[in-house]
Amino acid sequence: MAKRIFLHVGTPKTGTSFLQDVLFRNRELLAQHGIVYPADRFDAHFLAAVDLLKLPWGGLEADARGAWADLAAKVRAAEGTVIVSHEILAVASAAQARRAIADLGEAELHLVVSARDLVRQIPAEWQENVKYRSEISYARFLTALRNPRRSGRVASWFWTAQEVPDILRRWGAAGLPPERVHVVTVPQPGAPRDLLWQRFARVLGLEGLPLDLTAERANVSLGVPETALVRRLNRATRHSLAPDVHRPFVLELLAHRTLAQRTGSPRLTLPRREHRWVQETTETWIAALEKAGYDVVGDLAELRGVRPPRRHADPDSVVTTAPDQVVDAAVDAIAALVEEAARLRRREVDLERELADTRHQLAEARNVSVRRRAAEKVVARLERGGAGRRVLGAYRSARGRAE
Amino acid sequence: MSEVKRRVFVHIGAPKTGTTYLQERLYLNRGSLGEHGIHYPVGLREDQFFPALDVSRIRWPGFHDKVAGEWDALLRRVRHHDGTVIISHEVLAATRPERIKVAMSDLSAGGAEVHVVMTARDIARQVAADWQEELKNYSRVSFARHLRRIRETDPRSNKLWFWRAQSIPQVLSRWGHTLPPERIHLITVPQRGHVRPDILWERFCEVIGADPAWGSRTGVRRNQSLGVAEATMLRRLNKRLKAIGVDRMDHRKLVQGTIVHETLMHRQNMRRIQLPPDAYEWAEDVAREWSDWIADSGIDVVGDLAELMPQRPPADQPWEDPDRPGPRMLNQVTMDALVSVIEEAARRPDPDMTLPARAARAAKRLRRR
Amino acid sequence: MSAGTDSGPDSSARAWGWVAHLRDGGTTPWLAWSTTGSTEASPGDPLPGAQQLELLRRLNLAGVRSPGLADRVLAADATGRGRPDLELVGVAEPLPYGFAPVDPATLSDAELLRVAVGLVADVLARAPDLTNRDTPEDGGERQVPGQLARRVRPVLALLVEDPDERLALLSAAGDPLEAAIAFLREHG
Repeated sequence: MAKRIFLHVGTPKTGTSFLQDVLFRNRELLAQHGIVYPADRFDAHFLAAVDLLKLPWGGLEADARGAWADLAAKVRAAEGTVIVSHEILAVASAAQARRAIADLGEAELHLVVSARDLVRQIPAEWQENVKYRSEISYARFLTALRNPRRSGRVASWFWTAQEVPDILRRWGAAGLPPERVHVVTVPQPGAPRDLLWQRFARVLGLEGLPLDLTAERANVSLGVPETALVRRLNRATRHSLAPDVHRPFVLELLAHRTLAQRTGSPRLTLPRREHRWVQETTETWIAALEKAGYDVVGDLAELRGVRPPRRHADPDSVVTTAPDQVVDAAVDAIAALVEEAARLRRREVDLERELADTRHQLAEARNVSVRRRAAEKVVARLERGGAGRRVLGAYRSARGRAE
Repeated sequence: MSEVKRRVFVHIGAPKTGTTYLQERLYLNRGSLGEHGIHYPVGLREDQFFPALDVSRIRWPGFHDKVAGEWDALLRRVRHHDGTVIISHEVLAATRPERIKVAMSDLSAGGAEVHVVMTARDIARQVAADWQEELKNYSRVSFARHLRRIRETDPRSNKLWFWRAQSIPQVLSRWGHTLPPERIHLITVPQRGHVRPDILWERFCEVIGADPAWGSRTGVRRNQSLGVAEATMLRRLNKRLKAIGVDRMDHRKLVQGTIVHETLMHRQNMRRIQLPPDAYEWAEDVAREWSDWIADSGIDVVGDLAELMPQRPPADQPWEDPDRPGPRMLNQVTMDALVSVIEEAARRPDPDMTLPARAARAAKRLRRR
Repeated sequence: MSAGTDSGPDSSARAWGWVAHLRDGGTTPWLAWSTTGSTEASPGDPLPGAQQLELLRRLNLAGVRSPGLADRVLAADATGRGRPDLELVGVAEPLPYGFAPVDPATLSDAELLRVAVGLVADVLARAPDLTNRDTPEDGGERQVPGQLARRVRPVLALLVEDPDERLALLSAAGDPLEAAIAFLREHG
């Protein structure tokens, strides 16, 4: 069978993390079935995309150096079916996309874009902005999106990352047979839980494989008071928190592991008054996608979304209209931080103890005549404990440098 | 009266009556006071908390098992000195009679003349201060319940820490029943807004027979109290922390340190915690009872008994319920606390990152040898 | 209406003519350009983006000439977040979606800077002597010539509005776009 490449280039917030997680965790099984997901770490394709697109990403871009070239080399070397997937590839310029495709080498290229209705994407993307330290209000965000110039960081990012027909244009869909361009639509709320997965599986030829699907389906969406809280926090810590602190503490610990887990808060919706222009935009997309005759997996009608509810909790004013909700969220956040600090404190004690043990045993290993056997004992002991493994990793890399 | 070689003044509290201020001042001026024959034997520490815990046998989480021998060590330091010796710690106020007996006989051994000194503030302020103290120590009790508990418990029953440490008649009866009244001294703490901040020091010096000028160095004046919103935020946080299982030691290290001392206490324009208007009548009754007891007992009063009478806030000033602070205030307080813990977390290096690196360095060093 | 708003095959030839003019060091703005050029590009080749073209015109205006620079400018990617490469007004059929074509003269400095920063980063990455200056003393990070070497990060930081990292060589010199142009004159 001829080599095929499935290049999944977007869009954000369409179940891509779940897909990538399944692909990564099952990559050995997939390889046995002739499907290659070339990644040696879970975020390999993310780093490759950051590298390709030259995106500063809170310091992570330093890890990304050369990641695209690595990935492209693996794709070129692979046989059978190869899958490349990351949603931020959606923002590639036409020139970048052309170069990227050339880098991947000769194969039957398939473009895949997954798409979700704007009624859900717009609030989700504002939240995403807030989680990544933006201080923009929801109202200003909506105004920016409506501005036809689409200039400025927020609007330009939103539309480059979300406008499905334009993403496909930049990725050169016009030069491909339409049946090799696949538009996967995200089902409406209330649809069976695995319907989206089935659609991905159909496009990528994963149907019938005994895949482990227990990947984390992380719920990372925040309620209205929670988002308002993070936004206030961004304002308060703008000058005091370095990105390498913001990521573990605010983004991961607070936003994802604490605030996203709170239930019962009002969810963020698209205000009704915005629905008309959103509908008009959506119709132009549907028309363009229909006209192009792409392979639609799902139903383009799903891109229309459902009419937003009349009751809309406004995140810009929730601090004054429902201050208690925000306080509750903040108290949870403080508690989570205290708990984490307590954990780190205890861990420090454990590690100190292990460090002392390691020192002691290394010294022993040096002195006894059967040095080798003693060293093996240390290693075996360390490998049993979680903290020990970390110590050992550092020890090994230090040895690698020193010897 | 025969010549005594040593006078020992035992300042027993009560808690939250300016004791830290007095102890700090004694500590800072112990050199010049010593030159005038007034000794404050703290040893290597800055206060006498450990000996006080040791002699009183009060169970203080995290500390009471670490203080064995501290009292004896203090006694040895006391016996080094002739003249006047000061012992001061506010936990002493809550000591049970059988331990008071031990303390008094230890201190009077060798013919020393022992005096008991109590500093006291009006009960309305003490109720509020005690609530804050409890919150700092991980309590989840509302102000209303705290107050109700105090009102409904018999001060003589010894069931409540508050009464054990704060009830002037109970505390002084326990500590003073072997002493003539002139060796029992009650210093009243002036009401808020007193013009001279040194007044408490001056009154204390009067009791111990010192010239206030011998102790002119003062510590950093700290505002030790929380406002309405700060206290409620802390109470909600305690509830939450308890629910997720954060233990007492971690609470002390992380919440008392970063959140209470470094953040909440530095906030401006805090709203004072005050008794509800309908509780003043009760508070005044208690104050009158205390005054009557003091007058009857004939002990030495330094200051003014009127200062122990609760002051009602002006009638036009509405009472702010400490359990229901204004939402804007509460919001702001919570936000400040959140920011402070994040910034604290940011300063704290991740042990996973730093310790393995140190292990690696240790390993390297070994190899080079 | 000016010639600039017509579209069609003639417009495409006119655009390629403008590209050739800029490659030769020309400085005429797009809306004032009316000549169709002999086009070396094959018809399928996409035009460079308006941002790249306008930056090249600015470099020409500033008299910056260096071998291969024009090619590098036209092939450069914009770094960081912002609008994708834009089309020239009056060349392509307008689409009902996507980013509207622009008159390149109306592009903001910030948008040109996204391209310029990429070029600066390339120069820094190719010249190890420029990147090696402050290697951390414990050797924590090896300086590898590469697109995103550590030293380049402050430059990219200009685009993420990170005030703490703005100590970059560009902002140190005042107006960042001018600084970038000056840098390219010297090292590019």
